[in-house]
Formats: sequence, structure tokens, C-alpha cells
Amino acid sequence: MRSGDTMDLLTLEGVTKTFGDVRAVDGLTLSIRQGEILGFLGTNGAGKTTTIKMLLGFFRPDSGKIAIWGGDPRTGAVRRRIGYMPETACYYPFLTIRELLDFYGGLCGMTRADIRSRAEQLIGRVGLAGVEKRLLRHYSKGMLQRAGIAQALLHDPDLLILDEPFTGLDPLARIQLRDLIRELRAQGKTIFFSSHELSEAELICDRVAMIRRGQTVWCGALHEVAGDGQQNLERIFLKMLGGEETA
Amino acid sequence: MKMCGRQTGALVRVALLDLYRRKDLIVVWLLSLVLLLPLAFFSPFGISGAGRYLNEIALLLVWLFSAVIGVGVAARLFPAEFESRTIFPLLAKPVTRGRIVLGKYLGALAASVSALTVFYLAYGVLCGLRQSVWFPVVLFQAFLLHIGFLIVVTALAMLGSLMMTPSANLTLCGLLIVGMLVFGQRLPSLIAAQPYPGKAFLMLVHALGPHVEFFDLRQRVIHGWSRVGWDVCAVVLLYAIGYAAACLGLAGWLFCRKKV
Amino acid sequence: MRQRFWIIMGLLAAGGAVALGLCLPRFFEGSMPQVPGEDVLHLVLGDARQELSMALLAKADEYFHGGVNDVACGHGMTSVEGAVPDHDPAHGESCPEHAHAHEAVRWRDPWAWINGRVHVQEHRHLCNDQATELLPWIWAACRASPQNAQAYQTGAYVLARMTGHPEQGVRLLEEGHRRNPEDAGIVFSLGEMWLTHLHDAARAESWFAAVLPLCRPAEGAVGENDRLLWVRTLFYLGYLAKQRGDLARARACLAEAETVFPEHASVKDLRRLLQQ
Repeated sequence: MRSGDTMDLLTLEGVTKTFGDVRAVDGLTLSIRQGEILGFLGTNGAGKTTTIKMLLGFFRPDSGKIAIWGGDPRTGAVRRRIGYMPETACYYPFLTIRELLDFYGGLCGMTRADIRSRAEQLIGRVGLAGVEKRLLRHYSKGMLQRAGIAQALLHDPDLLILDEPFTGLDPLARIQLRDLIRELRAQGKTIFFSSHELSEAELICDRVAMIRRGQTVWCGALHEVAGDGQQNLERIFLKMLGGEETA
Repeated sequence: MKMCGRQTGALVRVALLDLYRRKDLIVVWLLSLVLLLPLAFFSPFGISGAGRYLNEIALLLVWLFSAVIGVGVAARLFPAEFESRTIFPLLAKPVTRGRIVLGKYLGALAASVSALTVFYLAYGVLCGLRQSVWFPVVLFQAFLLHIGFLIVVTALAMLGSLMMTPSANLTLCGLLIVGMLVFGQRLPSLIAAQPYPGKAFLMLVHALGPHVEFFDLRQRVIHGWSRVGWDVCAVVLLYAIGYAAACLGLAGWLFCRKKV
Repeated sequence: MRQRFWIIMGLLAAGGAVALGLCLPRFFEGSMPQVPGEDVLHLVLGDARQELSMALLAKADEYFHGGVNDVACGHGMTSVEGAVPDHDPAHGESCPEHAHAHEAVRWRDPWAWINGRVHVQEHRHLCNDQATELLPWIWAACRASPQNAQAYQTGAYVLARMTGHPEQGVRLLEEGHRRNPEDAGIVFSLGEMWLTHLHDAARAESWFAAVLPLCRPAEGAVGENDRLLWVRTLFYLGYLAKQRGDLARARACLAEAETVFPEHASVKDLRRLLQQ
């Protein structure tokens, strides 16, 4: 496990969260550097989504500290610079993609003109041009995922938190999303994403953090994980996390 | 300030789109038309000239449907968000929970008032066409106070949506509204006649319950009584705003503490 | 194949149900369960029809008082009992607004104060052409429960006395009589209607004569309402007999009235009439 350096954008130190008898996150320590792509990997119930919710300020940790740009994630100033894509692509079914972006853009304080131009750009970028007038209830799962990416990027955030972004995407869409993520990194954005898709993580991540039962098992660069190159991420994942399902 | 305005405006727009795309309003308007049109041609005992009964039934429908829309829209705002999980991307945006409550409330209110306006315009036209004597000032006051009614019931339903299940919320709101409309004026005499502990309970209801009967001017509109004093109108609207503010304050506090 | 099978089965079941519905009454006529009630509305609502009808009449009364209910006003819209007396100077045939103000609302109770200002605290009476506003509710009261004799009588009064349509009033009472042939009050009202509004003494007398068998009990004591109706009917019969010169008949009516209700004003009036 590596500690953060002075360029850390996001740090979690000894973060714990308990729900009743279940300790979802147990002394988690993690950091992300400015401009990197960190893959957050773990089995089902490892505490990934709980960690993400704490990063977004949905609730406070029971103990420990979370800092994003040195500030509390619950403040408006911090959240204005974060783009979030939820695991389940749930958006208002009675809206079109433009109306959805208009809504979220309004919540981010953007002007109507800014929203319009940015929406135009993003709708084309995520491959939803041509279905703008369709209501979201008529979108496929993959299309909803793309809509989710668009709304996460709408206000040009500096930090992207993506929860299972590759779920439901066809192979072409996955390639497009990978390219988009690399493009964003090249622009200086920081991306934090959780995934079960180890192959995708292997292709784009700078560092990975593996979590089991709410604790960081390993965090470091991919080449350190791969070691002599004879082991791939899947084998390392199984070795580190034991292949057991957590409660 | 501008940020606040944009955020609130965004929430209001979505509430309006939700109501109008559900097509509930069209069903309600059509139902009103179907019920009222045959009655408009009715002549009891072959004698024409009676019009107040039609006004009464029309206004009853306006009140019934506006209450259903107001309470229905507000009661499902938060439960629908939690159920469909759209609450997560919403909370991830740089908007405080209190502002979300306020924005959603204003959206629900705007949606209900827009539907109400159409009802009253249609009623005003019907009234004007049928009757030789028209009381526009009283009708305008009735419309104004009806908005006050929606201010209160929408806030109440929104508070209820954060405390209980949608069906329980709708039932409780329905009971409160009907109960107050029917018995609200008589509460002081009921209190005087009751022994304890019933008396204490009624006093509590009288003190804290939503006095929606304040906003009911149907009697004056239907039977051609004179208007209410404008000072009384102002007091009643202030009551509505105050009551709604108390409900929304409590709702905001509850939502801030709610685990997602 | 499977779908076709289920469609055929469904059609057979529906056909069987229709056939049963048609055949069962024919085969088991007389032994099928008998359900009381003359129509579906009666079956469904039962006694609630009467309550509904009374509520609709109360609505008409509310309309009569300008939309104000629970009014402590001694003047109702009906002529059945305690009608607006013509000789009462406070409530004449003109259309006054009656400010029977309710008791003042205490300022200490702000909600009651607001209610007192928002809701009308006085009432007024509808009269003349305005009384047509009562008709829809009265019509509904008659339809809700054809056994509600009061609805027919109230309706007839409003039609004849208030809106100036006595023929409609008679028609309504005749319908009420068909639905309630044993109701003496409706028959009496028909007699009054023909006499007072349509000025047909012969028809009026025949209707008054029809009241007597309904008032006179077959056995046991007569009820207070029936006694009242009986004596008033005898007054009218005596009056009409005198008008056509049949004094013997008139005296017979007086004699009967004196045994039924000697202290009633009608008996004194009839006695005075026969002394003239």
C-alpha cells in the first residue's frame, strides 16, 4: 500500500462506515493523484459503492477523514468540480436527453447558453445524436449509460467518479468510452472508477486499488501488480482477494 | 443568488414536465367535461333557469381534482426519486438538500397552480356564458385563496412524503383536507361540547391542523354573496405561506438527516 | 395450437355461462332465491336511498338560505308543516335579505375570527324566480328515493307556490302518489294544489275525500300526524260542501272533526263558517 504524495487530489485516511452490524468500510486508506486514472476494484459487497457515496458527500464516515482538494466533499465548491456517473443508469424517464442535461446543468449553475452548447457537443461525443427527441424511458441500457456519461461531463468537472461505467456497453461503445477516458486524462482530468471489468481496468488505469471487506488490500501501479508480466490482472485479483464473496 | 435561481428554476421545470407528460391532467379535464356537459343541458321538471347547481358541481370538481393533483404530485416527488434511484445523481450535484426540497416544492406548486388556472379559466367562461350576473371579483378572490390552499396542501404532502409511505401520506392528507373542509368551522363549538381528553385532542387539531376551510369561497361564488375584505385575504394568504414554511422547514430538516 | 385450444375453451365457458343464465330461471322458476327491492339502485343502496334523498332535500334547504346550512331560522322552504305564514310581517312575499346574524366570533381565537370573516355569517331566502335554483336538488331527492313523500310535497310547494308552475307541481304529486299510494300527505297536498292554485273545487274535493280512508285507522289509536291531517281534510271537505250548498255534508264533516281533534283551529274555523 502506498501513501499519497504532495500532488494528491483526493485522500481517504482510516475511513470507517458501519450500517447496523455490518462494517461496510473498515479503516480504508487511499489517495488519488492529480491527472491519473485509478481503478477501484473489489468483489461484490467489498464497500466500493459505500466509499463512492462518502466521496460524494451523501453521508459522513463514522471515523477517518476524506479530503478532496483539501476540502470537505459535502461543500458546493468541491461538488461543483466532481462529475458522477452512478452504477445504475437511472434518470427521469419522462425527459429527453437534452432536457436531462438542461436540468443537471441548471443544478450546476450553468447558463442556458452554456448548457446548450455543451450538450450539443456531448450528445455527439457519446453517440446519442439522432435520438435526442426520444424520451429516456425508450432508451436501451447502453444508451442510458451514455446519457450518464454525458451528464457526468456536462459541467466540465476536474474529477470524474464513475461507478461501473462499462456495464451494459457494447464492444464499440466500450472502445469509445476508453478513448474518452484517455482523452480526459490528457486534458488533465482525474478519473476514479470502480469496475468488475478487469480487462478494461488493465487497459486504461495508471493505478489500481483493490478492496476487500472495506479495507484496501493493495494499491499501486499496474506494472507493479503485473510484476514479471507473466501474471495478468485477473490472476492478481483472484490471488489478492481470494475469490471469496464477502457478506 | 443567480445560482440559486438557476437551480430552483431547473427543479421547477422538471416538476412541470413530469405533470404534463403524465397526461393525468388531460384525463382529469376530460372527466370534468364528461360530467358537466350533460348537466349543462338538464332542466328539472322541464323548467330551465337553474344554474347554481352546475356551478356547485363544477367547483366541487375543481376542488377535488386540484387537491388530488396537488397532493398527488407532491406526495410522489421524493418517494419516486428514491425508488427510481434518480436521487443519487441529483445529490451529487452542487445543490444543497434544503434547496432541493424548496425547488421540488416550488415545482409541485407551479404544476398544481398551472392546472388550477386552466380549471378556473374554464369555470369563468362557463359562468360568464350561463349567468346574466357575473361576480368577477369574488371569483378572482376564490382563485387566489385556492392557490393558498395548494400552498398548504402541497407543503403538507411533501412533508408527509419524507415521513411515511405514499399511500399512508395520501390517506392522511385526504382525511385532513376533507375533515377540515367539513368540520373546520365547527371545531370551536365541538371543543366546547367535548369533555377531556377528546377536548384536548380537538384543541390540538384546531391549533395545529391545516385550516384549509379558510380558502373555501365556493359559497360566496355560487350564491352571489359579496367579496371578502382584502385585508382578510391577505391574512389568509399569510397563514398559508407561514404554514407551508413551517412544513418545508421540517421537511428540509428531515431530508438533511435522511440516509441515502 | 395451444393458444387456439385456450381460445376455444374460453368461448365454450362464456357460452355455457350465458346458457345457464338463460335456462336456470326457466327451469327453477318459483324456487330461485327471491331478493327484495324493485330495482338495482334499491338493491345496492337499500335504506341509504332515504338518507341520500333527505340529504338532497337538506341541500335544497341550504340553497333556500343562500348557501348557508345549520341555520337557526324558523322559516323553511316547505309548506308541509310550519311554512312561511303569509300573515307574518317579517317574512312577506317580497325578497328581503334576512340578517339573522350568528353570534359574534371571539377575537381570542384567530382561526375562528378568520372563519367568521371568510364564510358568510348571515343568510337570506330565495323567492320567486330564484327558487328555480332549488329544483335540481328536489328533482334529485325524488329520484334518489321515490318513497320519500316529503320530497314530492316540498317539490310541489316550490313549483306551485314559489316558481309559479302549479301544473308541474300537480304532476309531481301524482307521480309521488303512484309511488306511495298509502301516503295521506301526498293526497292531501294534491287536494290543496287543485283548490288553491288550480281553482278546481271538484277535483280538489275528490282528492280530499281520498285522504279520509288513509287517515282513519283500521284498528287502534290514530297517530298524531294522521289526526292532524284528518281534521284539516275534514275542514276542506266541509268548506267545499258549503260552497256547493250541501250543508248536511258540511255539518257531518264538522261533527266528525269535533270527535277527532276538537281543539284544533280548523274545527273552530269550520264552525264559524257554518254559522255564517
